Amino acid sequence: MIRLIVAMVILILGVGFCLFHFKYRVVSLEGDLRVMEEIILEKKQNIRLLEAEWEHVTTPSRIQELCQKHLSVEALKASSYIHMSQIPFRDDDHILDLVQASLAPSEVKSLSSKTISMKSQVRTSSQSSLSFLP
Amino acid sequence: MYLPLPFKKSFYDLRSGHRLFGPMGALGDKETRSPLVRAHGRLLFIASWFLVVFVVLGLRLVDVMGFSPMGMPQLWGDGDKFLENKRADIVDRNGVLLATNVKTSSVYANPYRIQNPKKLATDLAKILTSSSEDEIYQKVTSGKKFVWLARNLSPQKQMQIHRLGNPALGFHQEEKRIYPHGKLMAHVLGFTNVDNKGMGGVEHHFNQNLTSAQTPLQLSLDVRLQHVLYNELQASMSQFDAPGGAGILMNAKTGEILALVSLPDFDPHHPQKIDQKARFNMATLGVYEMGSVMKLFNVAMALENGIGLSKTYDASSPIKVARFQIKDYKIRNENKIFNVPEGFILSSNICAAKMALEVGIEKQKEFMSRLGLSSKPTLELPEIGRPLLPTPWRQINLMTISYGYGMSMSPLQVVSALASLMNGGTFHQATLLKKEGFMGGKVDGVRVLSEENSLTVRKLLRLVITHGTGKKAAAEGYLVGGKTGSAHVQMAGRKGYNTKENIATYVAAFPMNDPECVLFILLDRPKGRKETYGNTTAGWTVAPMVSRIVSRVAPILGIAPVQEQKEVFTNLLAVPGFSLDA
Repeated sequence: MIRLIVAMVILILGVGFCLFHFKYRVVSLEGDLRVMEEIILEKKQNIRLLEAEWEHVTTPSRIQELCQKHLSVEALKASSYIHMSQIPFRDDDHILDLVQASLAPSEVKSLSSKTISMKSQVRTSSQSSLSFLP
Repeated sequence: MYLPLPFKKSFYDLRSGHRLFGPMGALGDKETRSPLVRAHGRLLFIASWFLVVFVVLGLRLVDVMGFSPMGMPQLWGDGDKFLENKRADIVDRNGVLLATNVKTSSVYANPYRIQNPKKLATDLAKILTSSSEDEIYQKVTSGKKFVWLARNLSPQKQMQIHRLGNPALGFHQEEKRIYPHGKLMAHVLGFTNVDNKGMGGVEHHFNQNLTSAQTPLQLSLDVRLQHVLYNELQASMSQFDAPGGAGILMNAKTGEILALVSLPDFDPHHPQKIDQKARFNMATLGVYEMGSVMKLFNVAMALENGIGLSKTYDASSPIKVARFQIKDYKIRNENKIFNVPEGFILSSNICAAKMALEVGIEKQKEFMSRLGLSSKPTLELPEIGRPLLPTPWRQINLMTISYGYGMSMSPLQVVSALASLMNGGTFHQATLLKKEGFMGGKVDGVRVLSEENSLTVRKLLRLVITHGTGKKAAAEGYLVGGKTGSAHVQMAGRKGYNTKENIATYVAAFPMNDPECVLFILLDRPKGRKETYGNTTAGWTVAPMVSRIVSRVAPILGIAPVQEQKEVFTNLLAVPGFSLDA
């Protein structure tokens, strides 16, 4: 009986200690969490303030004023626009052929492998840069 | 635990086994037991009590540790230092911030704790430029327990006051509604009071939504377009010394309002300083007689009622109705027999009145109602005006309405009706909320005009720019179409019209081959200038502004300029029966 009681007391003490330990660990973590949440909230408030300030300093009237003061640019006229099809794009293949023709045959041979790779690169890049066009 | 021994008995008696309590033992044993046995029993009794107490303590421990909430430590002293956003943001159609809440500090003082009020007032006056030293001194010596010294301080000022290190001063954290673009959208956004409650504009209309939801409210406005409209309207008001002006830019295909300006306006950060005139929204609340702009709706009505473009009207002599006389304004034409396009581009009142007479009162009423011109429009603003209609609607009203008198309506109504005429004949309710399918998308609406007549009206509007009264509104490459309107100002008490002053209006749409946007501009009583040869009509005052607005707005909207002289456009917009050399 005494053993049982002693065992019970030890058990209760052990459980109590564990509870105490975990409880205070949780309290400590909750404290950290609260600090984190408050820091996040403070940062959010600061971001909000910065966003408002950004919008204030980039408001169109201010940008226009600064442009007129510091830049010598004007609004585009309709005649400044042309259709993409009207832009005279560089014919890279033709330029490379002209370069090849101007070189001696031995130089052409050494350059041929490079030229082929350059041509393919040019083709790939021009295709990719124009891929957005309708 | 203490068990008292019976009187006059010693522990010797216990050890010798003498009976202590006569026939029955202390523990109720009938038989005499040895003291050790009895002691064992007593120990057990005591131990069991200990056990019970420990169990109770253990349970309480579990209860305290596991189930009782513990107060969080107060880490920052001031409980409301970190406030959650109490009112949702408002953003434009591209997500640009239009209204938000920011944390601000207000400084207060407890005068009882101030040791040197004179020095404190001097120090604070250097920081708080809004209050004088005397004002602060009076507050800090008022004898009250609490006085506000300044509300909504900037972080810099708060820091400066904090550095004074005066224990009598304290800070209270608050939220303040901020409009980063200032006045730019004042009439649309409205403002909030000190309790963050919406008091005008969408702040009032969506007050419940803004306070209950945390997601931003996205409007249909575009801050860049709004700036263009504001900037140009302000410049024209200044040029022509006009006391007021209004402008609306609307997506013709969806009814979304892209820009809405009413001047004069107000600073939403200082609602207490707003006067009634500045608070009046001319674009949605004000109703005006629109002048010749109404001829556009009149001609659309005529087309819908079977009147062809080749129909001619004699405008050589004024129409006399009772004591009134309907005549044309400065039309120089010897012939004065006009067909519909000629009458329209020369803005003939006589032609318009004769067309209306042919259609009749009931059909005019029905058509005005169809375009939403005779009923109060809907928009997400509390400031909405109701049109003024003639009662009774007589024949004279039928004629005067045809050229823009006798019926007053708001710019909002006109721009919505114009959009329906331009977009192929579908009426969309105007809205300040962003819709999906902008620029090329389809949004449901109500058909009010046939597609064929819509195209004809567009051709006629284009003709006004190329050959009529609105030439100055042309913007190279954007195929603008438009109609001028200049209405005399009605004198107080309906005692006739002041013919020296007018309200200049202009409706425009672009590009006319497939209109994306419609524009309405109103200039209140512009004054004649040297460059306008003293003219105050819309063709001189508002049309150049329309040209500038379209030139600036179209690239922002991604509308590509075209070569206007190209056959494809001239053929599309050619009016049958109308010679371009006429």
